[in-house]
Amino acid sequence: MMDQQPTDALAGLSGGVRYGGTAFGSAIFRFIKRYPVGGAMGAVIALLFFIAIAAPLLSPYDPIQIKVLDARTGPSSQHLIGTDYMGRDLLSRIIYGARVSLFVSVTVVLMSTVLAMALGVASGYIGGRFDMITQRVLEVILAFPGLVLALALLTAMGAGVIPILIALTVVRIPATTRVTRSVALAVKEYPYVEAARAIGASHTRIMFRHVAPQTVAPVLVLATASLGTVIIAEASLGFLGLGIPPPTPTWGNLLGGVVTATFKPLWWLVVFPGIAIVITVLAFNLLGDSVRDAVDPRLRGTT
Amino acid sequence: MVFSDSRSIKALRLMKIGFPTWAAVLAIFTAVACGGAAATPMVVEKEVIKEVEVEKEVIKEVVKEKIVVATPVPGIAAPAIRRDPLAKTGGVLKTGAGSTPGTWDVNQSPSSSVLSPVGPRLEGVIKVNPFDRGLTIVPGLAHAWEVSDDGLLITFHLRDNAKFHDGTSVTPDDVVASWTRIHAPPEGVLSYRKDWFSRIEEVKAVDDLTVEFVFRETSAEILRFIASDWNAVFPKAVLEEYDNDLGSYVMHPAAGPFQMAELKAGEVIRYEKFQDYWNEGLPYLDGIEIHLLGSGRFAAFLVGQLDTLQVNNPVDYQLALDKGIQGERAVVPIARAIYFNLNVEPFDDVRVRQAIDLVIDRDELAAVSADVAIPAKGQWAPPGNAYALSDSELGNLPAYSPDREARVTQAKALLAEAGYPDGFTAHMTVGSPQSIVVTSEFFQAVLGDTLNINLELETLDWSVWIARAKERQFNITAGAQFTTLHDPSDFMNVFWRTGGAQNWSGWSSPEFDAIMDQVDTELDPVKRKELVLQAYKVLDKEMPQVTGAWGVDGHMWWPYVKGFPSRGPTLGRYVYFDRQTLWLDR
Repeated sequence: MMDQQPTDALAGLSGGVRYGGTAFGSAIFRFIKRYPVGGAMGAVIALLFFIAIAAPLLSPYDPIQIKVLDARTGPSSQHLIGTDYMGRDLLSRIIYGARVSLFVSVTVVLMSTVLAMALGVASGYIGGRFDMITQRVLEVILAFPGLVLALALLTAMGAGVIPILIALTVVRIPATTRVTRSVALAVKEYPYVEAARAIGASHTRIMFRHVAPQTVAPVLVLATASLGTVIIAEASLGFLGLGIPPPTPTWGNLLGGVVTATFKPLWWLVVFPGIAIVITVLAFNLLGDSVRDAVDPRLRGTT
Repeated sequence: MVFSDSRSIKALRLMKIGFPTWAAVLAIFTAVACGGAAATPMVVEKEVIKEVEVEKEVIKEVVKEKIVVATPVPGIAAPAIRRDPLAKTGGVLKTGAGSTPGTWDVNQSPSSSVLSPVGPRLEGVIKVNPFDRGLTIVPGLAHAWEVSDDGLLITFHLRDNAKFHDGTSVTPDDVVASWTRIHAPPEGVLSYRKDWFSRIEEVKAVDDLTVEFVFRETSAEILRFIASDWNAVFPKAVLEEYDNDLGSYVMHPAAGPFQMAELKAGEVIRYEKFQDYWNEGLPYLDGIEIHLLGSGRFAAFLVGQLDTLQVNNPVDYQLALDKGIQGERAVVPIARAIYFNLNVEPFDDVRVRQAIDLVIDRDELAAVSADVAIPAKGQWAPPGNAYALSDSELGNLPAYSPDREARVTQAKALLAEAGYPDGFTAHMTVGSPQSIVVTSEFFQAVLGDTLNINLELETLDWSVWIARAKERQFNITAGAQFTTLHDPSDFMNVFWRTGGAQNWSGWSSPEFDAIMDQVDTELDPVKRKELVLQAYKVLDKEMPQVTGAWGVDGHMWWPYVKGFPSRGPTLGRYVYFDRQTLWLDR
């Protein structure tokens, strides 16, 4: 009989302290102290969320108001990082673009993680034919490159916020499902699960109370790292013209319109949206690394 | 003057011999220009053009401003196209294209993505002369032709030395088979431009070297239509073997200056000089390579990997000019516009359409889309076209008035009259080319600002957009219409006649159709233009679409590539794909 005990998914983060009230604050403090880079990136992400929420207050101009006479103006005191081909203020469009990018990435990661956890736990715990069918379906999805699959789905559904959320969620589900399934396959053999079964706990209760919590740690790492990936995916779809339709500014369509049109675009139209994407993706990835180190010290220092 | 080879010395002799002829031609032109045509011996009542060989160039005199051209006495072969006495022979020209064509049958395709890679092998009975911007016609497989006085019969005299790439001779039966496929295709075979030739009754062989085109009605400018690059002649036996469908026959023979040598799908299409081409001495090149490079072809061109390329993007065009590359741009019959589904509210109300037309400032539109296209301002015809309105005439149209405030006020009043004083919301589909996407964003912003019309944009892949436009699966849409010739019988029929192939709005006007019937058959160019202007008035009144701008194509070449024709505003698109007069000076 295996001598395994259930682990606290966020033990590394909390130092063994249960969450709630000041305990959570203490856990955050410990995390920042132990992982300063992760802490700094967390602050950057918090700042980005603040910018996105406070966009109407922070934007110097209406992001969709055209002013043809100001078109293609470089960085100046009036327009700090210039204007686009319709005279729209680029800084305002990037600030508003943060709303879309962060909303899409957080929503997609949440939706895909919840669905993938449910599917992976059920597949691993139930096993048999259900597991076999589920895995084959996921393999079919995995056979397509993620962006190509998203493009195909968007072509069928049409562009828009909801179709993008659906397409990127579908693309992300298989990888997360595989992780949770592998954890569920191992955990269902643990003694405490057998004990729960012995005392008459239902399969549903075992899955959700005893197996699912064990998948949180790896899923949390995966989710944090995926936030950046989803931002890039959304930007790529915008770049390819299948993202959020105009006039809504997104970081992807800010880049796409000009870069695909000409061999030598105006530099500020490329550099500044690019910087926004790089900073955000880097922040999410470095935060993800730190969270991974915190929840699984065995992986510390690996990539 | 230094001549590099014996051909040039021969040219010099010809030039000397031809001096009196030059003088005669000059005198005739001067007389006509001074209004003394009535006193010259060249006065004729039918369309007759004299063709004189001078320095191996073909000089044509257009009588009574006719564009249609006839040729020399049957039986006398003449050079079909201008020769360059300094031309060097040899070398392989490298150009670029996007991808391997989906079909190899030009008659079953509307796209230059097919005509461009297939073009070097093609030859028709006659050709548009690319060296006078398409104003005259030059011989092809026919060395001479005659138009009957009533315009109902055209007789082509085929040359006896023309061969196909498979070694067989070009016969009248081949012309008949090819042209029957064009004007009356058998069931299951597409002919994209058969409407051009709807008045042809019959194409028939008369003898071993003569073909007649018999018309039910007169057909204006018909020689220009026949001369289009699309209308190539193929061996009858090949057409029969492939059931008139050459779509999958990659190496199919024709009679043009180059024959296909190799296809590496997704990489390159190779052509080699056709040694038995009827026009001795042409082409100058030993071959052509068309590299299939997708969006990377401009980069390849810029670094010298390609010798020529079509470059439409104005920023890229300027970048290439700055590198010392040469080029020329020409307005083409492509209209970028807003189209309406006239069967749905509110676009079934002409006042709504007119209001939208009024608030679109064409100069602002040009400024906004300057990164992706050079929009040429014109309402119902491409600017520079013989049938286009002048700038001052254009300025008299309400939508082109410089008084923006007055236009917006009038538009608001029209919208209120139509029952939409507070504007409305509509779903707008958008074709994927960047020039259209940028244009549609501008439309969205302007209509929202001025008329409170909220457009929800949905960008569609171009092929999807065309499929939906054909089925009228839209309420309002931004896209384009495109044809070949700068002639109203081409673009006006295709764009606006009832059932026209690209009548995306589905507009139908018996009045307009009746005028176009006359435009199509009227042989007098002055009367024809009057009719075209009448048709414009119907369009202005009913506003089936809001034309934002007309397209401009750019053609570029490195300085060592010689022999490019100057296109100007009259040559049209899809011309000079055989590239037979190009030569490399290196």
